[in-house]
Amino acid sequence: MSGKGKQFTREEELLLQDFSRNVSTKSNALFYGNAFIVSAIPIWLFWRIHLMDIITSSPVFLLVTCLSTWLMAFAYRNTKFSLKHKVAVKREEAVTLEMNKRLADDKKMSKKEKDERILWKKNEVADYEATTFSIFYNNALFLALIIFASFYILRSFSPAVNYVLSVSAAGGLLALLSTGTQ
Amino acid sequence: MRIFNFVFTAASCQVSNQRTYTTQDASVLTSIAYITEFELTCDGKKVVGTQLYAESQGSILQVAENKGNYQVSWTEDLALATKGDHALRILDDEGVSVVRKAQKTGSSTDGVTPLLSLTLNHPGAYTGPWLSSEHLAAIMGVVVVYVAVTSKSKLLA
Repeated sequence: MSGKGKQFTREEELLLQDFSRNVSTKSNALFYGNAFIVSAIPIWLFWRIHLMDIITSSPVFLLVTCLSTWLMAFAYRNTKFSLKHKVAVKREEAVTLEMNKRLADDKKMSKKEKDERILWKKNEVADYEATTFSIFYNNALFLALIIFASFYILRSFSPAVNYVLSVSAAGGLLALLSTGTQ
Repeated sequence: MRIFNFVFTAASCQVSNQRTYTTQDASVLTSIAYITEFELTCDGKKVVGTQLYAESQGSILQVAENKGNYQVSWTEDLALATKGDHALRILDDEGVSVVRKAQKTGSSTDGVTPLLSLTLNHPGAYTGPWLSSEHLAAIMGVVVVYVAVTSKSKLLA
């Protein structure tokens, strides 16, 4: 790492980015898009099954969906962060093997450049896998929590209260759990 | 107003044209309805305008009559309703007073000879799917969560 007062090199910045909780704009768009879709799914459940009126309840639906979208995106980011480096370690060997095979014919490439490419590929694979797995994991838990909360735990409440509590609680719980280290 | 005033004997009366109905679909109901209709012929003559009673499991029911068509109906709580044959003992005024006396004194009514006996079969009612959709959704949710959690544990191991 550079000393005090010095600018980070490009390599150092890339390395820092890999270890930071901040995600790229593309990842952010993917997370928020997915979070919005999964947060909007319970609207159908409460509209068609719990028979809430879609027009009169639309402010509640909108508010809770926005809150849940934010909570889910937060959970996606944290889960991705906790998984990324574990995935990178797991896939390191396979990625190195494949990249070595692919770059074997290129005699002009230096050892350093090959290593950089392997590292870059490893990060790309880990990033992709951690992103998709984070979305799957949080979506699965979110929908299961909503089913349990709305049909069993909060069944005696009115549909509006049931909706607000079940969706917010599911999103909140996932956001909270995602901050854990494991 | 009574047109005929028979003194019936059990052996001389016959039931004809018996039709029964019981609730078949109880998915949105709380009670099962039992209805049986019949015509009664005593000593070769169709009985019209006579007040009859039906006794089933200790309960006495009035039999409705319209121009010689008799109808007995009652409802039973869904949870208490049982499948199979339900015996009905049809009684006249005399018979029902004997049954009531026996019930008051607490003695058995088995000895009372009914005018005739009917059987009403209830094949059972449909009360909804064996596994409701929310249970199915919950089970599927548990399976998917199990897969997600085990996959995460493997990745973090």
